[in-house]
Amino acid sequence: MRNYIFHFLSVVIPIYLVAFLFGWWAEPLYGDLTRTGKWTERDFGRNAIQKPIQIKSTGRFLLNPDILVLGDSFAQENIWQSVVTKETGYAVQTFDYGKCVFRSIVTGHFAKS
Amino acid sequence: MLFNSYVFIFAFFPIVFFGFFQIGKTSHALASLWLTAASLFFYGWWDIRYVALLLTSIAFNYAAGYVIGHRVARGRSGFIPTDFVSQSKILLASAIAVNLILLGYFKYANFFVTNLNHLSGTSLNLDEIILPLGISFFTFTQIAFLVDTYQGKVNEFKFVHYTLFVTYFPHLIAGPVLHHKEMMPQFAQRNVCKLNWENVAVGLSIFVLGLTKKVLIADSLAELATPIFNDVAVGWQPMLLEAWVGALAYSLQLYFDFSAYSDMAIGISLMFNVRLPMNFNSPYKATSIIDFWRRWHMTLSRFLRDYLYIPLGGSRHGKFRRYLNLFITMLLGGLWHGAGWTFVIWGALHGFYLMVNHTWLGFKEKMGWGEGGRLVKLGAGALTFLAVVVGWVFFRADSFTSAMTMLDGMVGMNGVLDHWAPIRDALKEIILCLLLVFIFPNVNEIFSKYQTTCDLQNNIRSISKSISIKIIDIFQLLQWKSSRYVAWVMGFIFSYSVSELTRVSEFLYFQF
Repeated sequence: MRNYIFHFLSVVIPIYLVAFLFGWWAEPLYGDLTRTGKWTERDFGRNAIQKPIQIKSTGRFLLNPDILVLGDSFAQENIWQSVVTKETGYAVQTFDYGKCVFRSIVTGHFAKS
Repeated sequence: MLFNSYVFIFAFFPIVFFGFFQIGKTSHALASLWLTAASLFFYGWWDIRYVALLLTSIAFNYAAGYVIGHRVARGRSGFIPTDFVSQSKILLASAIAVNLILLGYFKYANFFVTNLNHLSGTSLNLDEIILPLGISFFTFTQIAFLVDTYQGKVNEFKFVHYTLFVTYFPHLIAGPVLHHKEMMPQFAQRNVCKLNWENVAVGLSIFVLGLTKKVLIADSLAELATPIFNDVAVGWQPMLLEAWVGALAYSLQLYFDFSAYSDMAIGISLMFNVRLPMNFNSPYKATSIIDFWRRWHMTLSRFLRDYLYIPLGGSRHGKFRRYLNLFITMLLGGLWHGAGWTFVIWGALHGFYLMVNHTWLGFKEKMGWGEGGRLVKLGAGALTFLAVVVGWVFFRADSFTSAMTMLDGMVGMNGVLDHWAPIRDALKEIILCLLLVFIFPNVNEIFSKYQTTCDLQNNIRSISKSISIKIIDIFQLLQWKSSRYVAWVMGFIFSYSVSELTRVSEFLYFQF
């Protein structure tokens, strides 16, 4: 019976060792990026202190934005949009999807007000 | 803490397990203390405030039991007058009353006040009372102890062993409902602290099977049943197939969930060299309602029989009283499951089923009819299953109205079918689960060469009236062996089940 436990663990321990090591390398497997995008947290700078980002004001009053964002809580702070604007030069206009209606956006009523 | 959680599997259990056997090398008493402390920690993980309640209940019942037990023992020896002994009966009744008041306050006070307000038009208000986890189980366990003590069946009064008997973590939250006489001798055995590799191997394998049932089957079935019952609760009227999917999915969810919990509890306990009583024996294979209650939540059925049905008079006062006692027992058994009218109706329905079943048995006997052939048994099994599924609709529904809406749907009063595609996938899953239930051997049968439970196994085999199609090869193939191949398969099953633990869900019987 002792052998039985040995053989049981000979399967379980390697599987969990690999899973643990992968999780350790890839950063938490339950992070938001992994959960929603299947990306590893490691690829997005959790191993170093994030450089300061100069956050621009949201492009609410742009009349002809290059990128239109209907965002949730991830978009409200305008952080990643600021990086996109800085790196690409595109004008990004962000709306909170919970606070506007689709018709307002397509007719431009929201932007003009 | 849940058995199906990372913290239990990778932290709590290994620490308690190795600690117990390590301490047991030097001191049996300290090992028992360790297991008791671990059990209290296990309980306190949910809400530490209720550990005090649990300990108070234990201290009270231990003290009451101690006094009753010593009076009874001295009375039997002739050292004290008989009327002095008869006072023990008053003490017993008082102690049971205190237990029931405690249970009544936490479990039924809000229910009582709501109904009182409804009937009398008053507006009494009670704050929401949180139901302490496992209170129904530890209250019943201790009532059984008090009665056993009064009947002179209790010989040991070690406080640590008593506390361990009540709090022992494999059974504390959702049973089985234990008997003092079957647990205390096991805790007292010296070799309980000695690592037994056979028990560890068998217990671990039973635990793995239970975990798999819970994580891979019961939780998936919940995804079918819950939306249907939730939608019915807000006024949706299901069509025939939708209603049947909901009712069957819940019946199977409850089956796999409770069976999983029972397996895990038995497996964990066996690793500590302590055998729990069997609690579950393929109830859906029953060929009558009487048979069903010998297979479903067996320790609760035993408790209700010994401590309610028999004291009410059992079958000793004629047919009418017998049926009345059966009905009352099942009604209260229903109420034990929860403070709600749907539980009362469920209990009453099973009381009625049992009355019909006993009447039928009497009629059969009078007519001189035998057991019938295979076809008759299949028909009886199908009828029993149908009756049980109808009962579960009341058990699961949030109100009587919702239950009736489901039943209307099940007889086709809202039409047959609207969208086939989602129903088709759900039916596939349900049929697969039904095959598992009816064709495959249960855990007791898979481990039949080993003594995995403490007392009932032989009795259970003798009352077994299986309607399953016993394909010998499957039964032989699935017999557990301590081979390396079985160990590897178990290892893979365990690893996969644990990887699916991302959505940890409670066991259904925790709420009772």
